Amino acid sequence: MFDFIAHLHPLLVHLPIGILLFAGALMVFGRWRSVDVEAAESLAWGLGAGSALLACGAGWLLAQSGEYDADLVQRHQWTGLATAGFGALTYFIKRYRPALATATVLFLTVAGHYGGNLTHGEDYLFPGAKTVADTSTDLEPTVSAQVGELAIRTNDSGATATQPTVRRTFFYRDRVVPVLETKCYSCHSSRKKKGGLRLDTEAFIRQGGKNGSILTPGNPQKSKLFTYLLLPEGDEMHMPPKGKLQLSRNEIALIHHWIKTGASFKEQIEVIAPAATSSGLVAASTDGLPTNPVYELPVLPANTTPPAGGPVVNAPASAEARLLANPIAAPAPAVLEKLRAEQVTINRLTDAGPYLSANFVNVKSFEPRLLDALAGVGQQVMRLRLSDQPVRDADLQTLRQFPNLTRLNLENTPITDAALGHVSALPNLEQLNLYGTAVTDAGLAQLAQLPNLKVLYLWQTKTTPAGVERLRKARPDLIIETGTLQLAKPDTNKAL
Amino acid sequence: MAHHHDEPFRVGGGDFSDLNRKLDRRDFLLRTASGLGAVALSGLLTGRALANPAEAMAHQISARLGQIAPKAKRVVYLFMAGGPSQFETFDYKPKLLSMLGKNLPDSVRKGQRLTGMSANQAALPIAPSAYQFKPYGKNQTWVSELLPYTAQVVDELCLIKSVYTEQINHDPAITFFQTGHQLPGRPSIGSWVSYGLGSENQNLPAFIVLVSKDASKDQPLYARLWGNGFLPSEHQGVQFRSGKDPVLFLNNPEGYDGTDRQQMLEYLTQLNQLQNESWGDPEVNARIAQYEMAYRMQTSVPDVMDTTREPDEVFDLYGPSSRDKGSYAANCLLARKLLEKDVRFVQLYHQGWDHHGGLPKGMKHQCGQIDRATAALIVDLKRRGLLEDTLVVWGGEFGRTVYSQGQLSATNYGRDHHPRCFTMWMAGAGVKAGITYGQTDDFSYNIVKDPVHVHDFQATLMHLLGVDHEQLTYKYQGRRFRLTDVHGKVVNGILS
Repeated sequence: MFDFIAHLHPLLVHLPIGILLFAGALMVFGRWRSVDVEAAESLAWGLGAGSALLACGAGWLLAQSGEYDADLVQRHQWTGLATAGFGALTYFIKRYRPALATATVLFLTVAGHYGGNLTHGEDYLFPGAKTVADTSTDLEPTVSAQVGELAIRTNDSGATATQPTVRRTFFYRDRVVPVLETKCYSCHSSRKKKGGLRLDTEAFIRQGGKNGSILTPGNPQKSKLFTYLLLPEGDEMHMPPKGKLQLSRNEIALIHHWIKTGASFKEQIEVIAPAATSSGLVAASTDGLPTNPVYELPVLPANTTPPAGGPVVNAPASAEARLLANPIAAPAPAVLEKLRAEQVTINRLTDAGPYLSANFVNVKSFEPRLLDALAGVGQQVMRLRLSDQPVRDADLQTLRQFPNLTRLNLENTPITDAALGHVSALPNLEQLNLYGTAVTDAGLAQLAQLPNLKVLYLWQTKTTPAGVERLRKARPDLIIETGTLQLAKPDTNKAL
Repeated sequence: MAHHHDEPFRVGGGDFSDLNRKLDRRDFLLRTASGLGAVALSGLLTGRALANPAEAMAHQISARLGQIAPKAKRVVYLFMAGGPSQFETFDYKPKLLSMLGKNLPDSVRKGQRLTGMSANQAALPIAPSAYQFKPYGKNQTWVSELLPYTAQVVDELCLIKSVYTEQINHDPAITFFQTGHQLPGRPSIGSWVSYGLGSENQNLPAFIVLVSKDASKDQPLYARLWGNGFLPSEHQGVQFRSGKDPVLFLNNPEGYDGTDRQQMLEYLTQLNQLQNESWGDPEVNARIAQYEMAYRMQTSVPDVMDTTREPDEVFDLYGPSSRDKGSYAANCLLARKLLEKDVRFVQLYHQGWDHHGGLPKGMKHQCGQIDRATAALIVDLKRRGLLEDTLVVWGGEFGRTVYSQGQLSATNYGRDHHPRCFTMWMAGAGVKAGITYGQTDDFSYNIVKDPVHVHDFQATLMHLLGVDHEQLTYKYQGRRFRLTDVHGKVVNGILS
């Protein structure tokens, strides 16, 4: 009940604001035009003062929740009370009405301003006024920066490759705080502490809120700081609440990464031997491996509601799901345009992700240069369909530039075992269709080493049952479709 | 209120936001069309969409489920028009054998209103199936002796025995199944899919319809069942026929030169473009798209319709009638060829299942026509690696009654329409193989477990294609329409 009245405060305050301002307007109008508005004016001052008092009562109840900055609440409270008080005086003491009325309106304005600050934050009306001190630390413009940069900062000193490199990362300050600042502080910091929770210092984050701890370092699934972000937006516990600025997928992944790696609040300094830098980073840049890693977020089943209290996040079910959960850079538009002009059908695999499927079904005559062109987005291509095209073994050398390929359709192409040497270098390949090709048992043996292979189509190939059986033994988890399902002639002797 | 800027900007009857969205997707799907198509379209696609293909991709219709790649890429829907009896196919009711000729208990019917065809019968005598059932496959699923080939692939099927509809007569019931509404005028499922997902093959329509010529036409089919309703007309189903011209009016008239036709179309496109600039009517774009598609189909259709290169083994699999063009079996084989070419939605219709009398003979004939080719389609898709991303659907518009319409004898009886329960099956992409979902009572009159409404089936089909049926809408006559109206729940129990 008290809560209900307290929550009426934001509604009630608008009554005195309107009525008192109108009373002032009536007063000015009456004197200016010499009209007798005495009775109406008194009524307005009386009602205005009365409603101001009601608003004060409700406001006092609201302040008891303790979720607001105490200092600001004090100022708002006293100016509000003054508004009500002077409003009442204006009503009762007609002799000094103009002076008292002026004071009432002034207090009303100031109280209203403080109230606005409480609700919307102090920088709402005059943005930038408060941040002068904060930006004096040499923080880069982190909000829009590529979050992945940090991990490859080692090459800052790439010129002196023989010397050990020092890597300094302050993940909490440079990455986590900016997210909290833009998405969480408006309700969980010094000015407001909804749910008894503040997120503006290490101590407060460790302390948690009314409902207990929000952070379990190393375990995002047990940290409400992470799990509440995943609840459906309609859920009461979803953070930030519906209507507020939401975290981007990458920001959620960033919080996940931070908690998963121990939720450190300190700067980390590592010394890296020169060998590590050269092998790791030089290779990355020439191979075209991701130079822009993004934080890993386990895949979430679509349209499922995590159970309230502690959402359980499924482990990635497949290489494809794992990759989809790790968005890489978007495909280069120029490459896509060129390929489309050559009749290669390219689709996004998911709604907004960077990964693609490429289909050569419309290509009249395959040429190796098309595959070379496709390698321009080789990182992004997850499914590739070359069915029925005159693809030769040597053409498939280019496949090495498609490290994220999960499905490959080569059925009815003139390839032989030599092509499988290139195919077996695909670390994420899950499905491979070879039906109608000339591959033999020797080629099959190479496929056993594909770590993620799950389904293999071999109908109408030159493989033998013995060769297939050997592969089955080597990879019992593999589903091998050899076209054995046949229809037998049913027994038709039976009379109706 | 706060979202009023999201409302599409409308001019006259045209909805410009839809227009732009369509252009973006058209851009995405059709830009690769060289020559005529490219010339025509690059003039049409102005501004943002043309400037940046990557951005154009991002503006694809975003009814997709998001971060999970869809399981199904294509659909083949085997529609059994007329309402096949569940008693002689999949819904085995052995208890009925001892009740031959007994009156259907009132406790089962509960006063349900019957059709005018059997409402005036003095009695409602129970008619058990005249055909035997046997358990098949790993899961020992009961299948009628009328479907000896289908029985051999039953481990690939997901039988749904608890489908129900709201319509009791053919036309409203088929319309309801195909469009989500019993009154004519809404888009067919295939049109929705074409609109939502487009096609990977630019040389064939996204939605192709094949009607068996060898079925008895006891109940008519109308082209509006595969109509586009209010969607842009390039999304209507295109019927492929068995005669000399598979698609009517597609080929150039005798003696007419192809170059002339191309020039004529180029000028026509320019005229249409002028028209489009002054009116902005989306149908003008639809018209341009259709002319372009027809032009490309002049070469692609004869190619795909040509089954002479299929080996004998394939005809043997589908059965002897598969050599007879236009038969159900030939259509199944053709469907496989279309799916191989990545046609998005292939719909077959086979009429003649409306057995009000003479049911045992009629069912034997009908099942004999479809059984082998249907099973062959499953086998053929599976060994080619197509079943993993193709959804196969089999079913009619309603079921049939447990009681006999007209005279009942041990070998002859009829069955009236029954909307309250009937059996369908799905197979392939994203559906659990070898399961039975839902259960009917001993009379197959009422559902006792897991009912599946027509809208639920439609929602599930869309879900498997990666489309949220609640999000895929089209604004027409001032409101947004969707396939499932305001209903439909995804049947999670059958998803693999």
